[in-house]
Amino acid sequence: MDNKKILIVDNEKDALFMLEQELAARGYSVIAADNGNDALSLAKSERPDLIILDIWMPGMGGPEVAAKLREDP
Amino acid sequence: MNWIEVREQNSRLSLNRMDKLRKKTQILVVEDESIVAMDIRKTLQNLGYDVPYVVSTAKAAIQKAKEDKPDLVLMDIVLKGKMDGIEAADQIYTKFNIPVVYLTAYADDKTLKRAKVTEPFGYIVKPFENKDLRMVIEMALYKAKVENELRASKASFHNIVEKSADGIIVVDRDGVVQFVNHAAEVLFGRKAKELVGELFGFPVMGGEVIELDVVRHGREPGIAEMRVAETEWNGQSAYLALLRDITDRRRAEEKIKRAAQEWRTTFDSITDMISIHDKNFKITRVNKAFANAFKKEPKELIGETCYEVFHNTKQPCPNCPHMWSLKTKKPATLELFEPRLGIHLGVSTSPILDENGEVTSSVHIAKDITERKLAEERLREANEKLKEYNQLKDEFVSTASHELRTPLSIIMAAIRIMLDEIPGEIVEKQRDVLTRAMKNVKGLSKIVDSLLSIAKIESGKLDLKITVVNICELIKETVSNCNTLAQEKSLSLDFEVPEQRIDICLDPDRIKEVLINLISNSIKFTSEGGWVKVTCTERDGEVLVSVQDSGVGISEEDIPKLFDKFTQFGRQAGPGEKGTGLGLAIVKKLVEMHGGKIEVESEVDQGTTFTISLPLTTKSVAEVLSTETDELVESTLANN
Repeated sequence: MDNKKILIVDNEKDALFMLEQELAARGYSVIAADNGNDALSLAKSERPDLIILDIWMPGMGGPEVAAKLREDP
Repeated sequence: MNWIEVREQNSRLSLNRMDKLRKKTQILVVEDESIVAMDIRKTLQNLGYDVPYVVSTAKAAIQKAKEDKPDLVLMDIVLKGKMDGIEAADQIYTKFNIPVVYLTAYADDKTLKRAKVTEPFGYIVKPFENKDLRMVIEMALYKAKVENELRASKASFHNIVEKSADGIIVVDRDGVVQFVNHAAEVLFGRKAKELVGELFGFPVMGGEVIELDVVRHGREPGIAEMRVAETEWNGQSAYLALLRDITDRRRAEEKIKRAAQEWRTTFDSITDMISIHDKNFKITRVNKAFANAFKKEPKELIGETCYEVFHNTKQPCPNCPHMWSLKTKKPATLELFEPRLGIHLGVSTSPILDENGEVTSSVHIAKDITERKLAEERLREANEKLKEYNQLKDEFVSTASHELRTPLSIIMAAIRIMLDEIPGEIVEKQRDVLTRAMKNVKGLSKIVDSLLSIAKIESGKLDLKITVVNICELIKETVSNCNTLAQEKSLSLDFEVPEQRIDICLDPDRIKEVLINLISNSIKFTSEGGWVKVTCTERDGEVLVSVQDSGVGISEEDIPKLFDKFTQFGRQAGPGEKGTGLGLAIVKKLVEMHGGKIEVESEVDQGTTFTISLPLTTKSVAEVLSTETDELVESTLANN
């Protein structure tokens, strides 16, 4: 629980907001992205401990992002 | 005759005749005066006749005549004894057909009269000359021979005429019946004696064959064929009519004609075009529909080649079904568009085989299938549309799922965050407002879940994730999840499961859903202080799980509609307890997807028991799953 970094990805901005609120209240450090591409670049630059990924997103969907993330450790 | 004359005669005759003549004529002499008898005997023997016996009484005469069958009997009229010669003669002639010549001393009228009645063959008056005796005897024998021949002839005649199957009638020039044979009696149903002497009644003309309607006595009228020839009867010209009973033949002919007529009518009343083609593609028969279609008379079409008439070609078509039938001796079909008639035709040909199994021709039936083709086209289009709609619906289920849940989850999260005081502290009043809001959002969320659930199941998009699960554990977990709910209403919630584990293939989340639904229903419908109990047993390759309560129960009339969608049962419920009426429908579908069944028993004010049964065997579950999904998809398609 000591300042783990979590990357949350969801195209719904309100959902991101709510999740951020709840996670921050529990002491996590939160970074948010609302699309696949931003998610990938943020993942690269910030190197979070955990990624919470929404499945259904327009453009690059959740599974695609996940696949791409696995390619690059 | 002396021996010389006999020999001469013999040499003139054939061997057969010689054999007969070699046998001497046998004469029986009946004479009571013995000396006279001896004398006569000697005389006869000298004349060349054989006289083996002489008898003196009538009785003996009859007896000897019977035994020896002499060729002639020489009988003295006056005899000793009860019977006289005349009586004996009568008997001998009548019974044995032996000619009798009377020997008499005198010839008084009375005796002669009596004697005549017996039809003697001659008389000889004593005393007599030898040559007279011989002459009388020879004449008697001749007469007897002639009579025998006549009798034989009559018998032959009788045999032929009476045994004839055809009726033979002789009619004289005035049209009066003179003779009727047995067959004619049968034909007219009357006896010969009734007919002879009557007017024949039918015109008789020599040479022609006429048909007569015969009224028969005691039977229904018939038909006879009559042939008349000219003949003679009793010296006068007359007509000989030969009658043949053709009633049966006529009836059979009528039947055949009628049958042919019926066939013809049927053939012509069929609206499909029918034609029969022989091996050389020549049309041998057509029905009315066919002729009408080509706007020709049937006779114009017979003899034409089928391909010329149908297709206006000089050669048979390459895919001609008639040719196929001829070759393979099997029926063939073909669909084609006939441009001249502007219709689609379904053509079928069937070969006609002769008694050797060889093909002689084939029946060609052309059916107007334009409508059918149109219907097929429409069906194809409808199917395409259906597929489209189905796809749309599937997309809807996916999108709706996401689109409905997302805002709901955000709202719920927002309220929760507020209640957790993350953005800041809240006062009691605010808490109150937010709590109410949360309850309602949760309720809404449940409804949305149910709707999406049933939509998913019905569109076949729900996949069961089957694993091996110890159902006893599952029940324990589920029950503990519902404990708080039960406590809120002060109900006791209990379970009873067997000691040993029962492993069963199922989707744990779905079955949990089923149990939670049933348990929460029970809790909902049981008033404070009541109880809810979950039991699990194994029986006959099935696992039975019952959820029993002491609640308000369900009336008998409501039970059939229990598992229907959107049916709810009136009762007072708090806001959080409102339902969609979909719960039991979903439960039933989920249980059935596992290959199981659900049953309910209930009594008003006593309680309700829901029992689900799930099969234990893996194979049946998998099998049922595949068929269930197929059935669901099919029924959904059908319903749409």
